[in-house]
Amino acid sequence: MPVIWPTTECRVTDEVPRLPARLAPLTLATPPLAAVEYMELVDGTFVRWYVSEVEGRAVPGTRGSHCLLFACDGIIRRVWEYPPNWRTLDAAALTLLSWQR
Amino acid sequence: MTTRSTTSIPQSPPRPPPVLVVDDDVSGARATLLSLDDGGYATTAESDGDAVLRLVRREAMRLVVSELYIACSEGACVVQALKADRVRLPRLRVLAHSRHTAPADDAWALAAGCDAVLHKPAATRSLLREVRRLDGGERTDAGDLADDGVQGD
Repeated sequence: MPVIWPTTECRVTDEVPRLPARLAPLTLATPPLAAVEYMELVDGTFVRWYVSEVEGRAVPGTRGSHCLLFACDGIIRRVWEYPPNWRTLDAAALTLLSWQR
Repeated sequence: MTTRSTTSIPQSPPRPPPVLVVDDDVSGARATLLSLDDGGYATTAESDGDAVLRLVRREAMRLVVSELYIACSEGACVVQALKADRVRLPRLRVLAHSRHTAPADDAWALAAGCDAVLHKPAATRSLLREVRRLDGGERTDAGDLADDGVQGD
């Protein structure tokens, strides 16, 4: 099992994260990527990620009704396969989850 | 009586399809190709949207690293056309590697179906890490996870 560096933290944020603003303007003829919930985490290298669950049904090549987006400066990862309890995962587990597809 | 021993010739595993780099900027494509070459990936490049559609479908490619806003005859975005073709390309993964880095560009990439977005310029290490993730993690090394703060045993 991977060992996680003990520097991770994770919390539900009540601040306005960067991700919603990044997702706001849509230019394709698809419904908005409606975000359901946001979290932020700091991985073991002190990179801050914003994690959000968004609707996925209208996404071309959709693989589910929702997906997770992991966003940090200059990178966004989309994850289709994730557990329903992702909100309860600690930052280390979320960081590993961001490697799923 | 003679016996004949048959020696099976070891077969090398089938080579995975190359990674397709789609970019309408020559220097941008060259930089991406060099980075992927550093990571041991076979690559090919294309800049025309319709040629991309033909190539990916013919070769059943699984990984495309694409600039945004490459139009094709099936729509304004070749990535969207590729990702929507689930019948022929059910396992295709697309990384948007783009010089267009505004929030609206990210939104476009996600709405088009991209599996990941990486802004240019990006370090070779970052590009390879995102490509390996979409490649199924088969070539993921400890360094990739360590970059995210995860240390293997």
